[in-house]
Amino acid sequence: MKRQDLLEAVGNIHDRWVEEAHAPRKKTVGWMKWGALAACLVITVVLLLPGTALQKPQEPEAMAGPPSTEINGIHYILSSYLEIETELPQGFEYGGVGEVDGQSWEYYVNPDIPTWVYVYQEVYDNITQQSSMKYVRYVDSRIRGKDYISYDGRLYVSMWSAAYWGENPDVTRERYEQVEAEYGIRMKGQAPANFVHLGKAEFTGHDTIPDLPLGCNTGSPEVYLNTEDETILLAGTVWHTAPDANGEQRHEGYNLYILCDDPLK
Amino acid sequence: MADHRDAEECVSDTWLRAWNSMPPQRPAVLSAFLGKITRSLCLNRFRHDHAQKRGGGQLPLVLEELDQALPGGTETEEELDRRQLEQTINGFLAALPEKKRAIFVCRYWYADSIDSIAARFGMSRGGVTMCLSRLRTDLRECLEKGGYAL
Repeated sequence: MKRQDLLEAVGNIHDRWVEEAHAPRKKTVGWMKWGALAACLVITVVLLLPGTALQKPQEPEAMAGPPSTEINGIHYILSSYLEIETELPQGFEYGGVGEVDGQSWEYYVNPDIPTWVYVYQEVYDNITQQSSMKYVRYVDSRIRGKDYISYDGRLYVSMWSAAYWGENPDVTRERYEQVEAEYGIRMKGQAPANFVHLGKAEFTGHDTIPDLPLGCNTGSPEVYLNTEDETILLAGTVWHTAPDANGEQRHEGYNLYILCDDPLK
Repeated sequence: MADHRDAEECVSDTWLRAWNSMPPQRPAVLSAFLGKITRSLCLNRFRHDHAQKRGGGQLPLVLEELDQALPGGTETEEELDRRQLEQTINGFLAALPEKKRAIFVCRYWYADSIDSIAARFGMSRGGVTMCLSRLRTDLRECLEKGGYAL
């Protein structure tokens, strides 16, 4: 193995970890500040006592991700599509006041779409360099950033967005690695012979859980079913890379989707 | 990247490539999608510059450190199963606590400097260096267990 292989393999780690590593760090909350002050006092006192062993204080392990809020026991995270509206979307009504990263804002709910809330908050525009109040979509953390396809009453999640770790994994690690070893996350070229064309999926909207006979929440890809293992689907896609060994930059192929449980169960 | 003009060109190329690929490809996490394009462009630029004895910045240091995570044995030209290697690294990262995983990603994905990682996580420079050193050793052991030792 060469260092280049390792460097390139590291380049293809899960998107969520890339996002997680450079996410804004959580501000220290009040009790932590007081706790740290108390710890300093204790250390100061201990330092005054000769011969006392000192233990290095532990670093706080709390990590921050994208902006998020907790409403009625559900954790909502800023939509990965950055859905920001000037007008309150239809069907949403005032739900109360919530907190996003330590600031209080009004939020709006829609009983028909319990997986979304809109927070009326200050948004800074990098281009105009001005701040204004907007309605910002936050999505139930269990489905946020997940690419789904529904087919025949079943739900499939893309290997790109499937999580086999954490509290609510979409699939088991064993299953994920089994499919990844056999097909990969994305395959280039033609679909294998054991996949049949189901048709073009109907777009159900970003941040939704599709429930159509053949629906997709990321667009309208052509979908193929593995006839030997109906827990696997392919969705047509195109991607671009730096020029490969043949100088090619545009590639056609398929994203792998695997059967998953109801994410809201 | 050491050269500011190179960095600007890579950013411009990122927008162009993103424009060409969306739609039909819609990334689950936009920032990571754009970042992967930029990272790939930067590495290509670095290789080109390195061949001409240019370059600098964090990348040579990051590459040097990653050498320590490579399993032992002689280097061969054999084609590696990249997919399997990526799977092994993803498995290694999945098993790490969030903070350690983020430190690893900051250094070896973003090529962040030790100082900036130390500032981000409220650690000392030495603490970050020690943490990375242990992570490289752990990764090396993980790769060896995965059959990457020759």
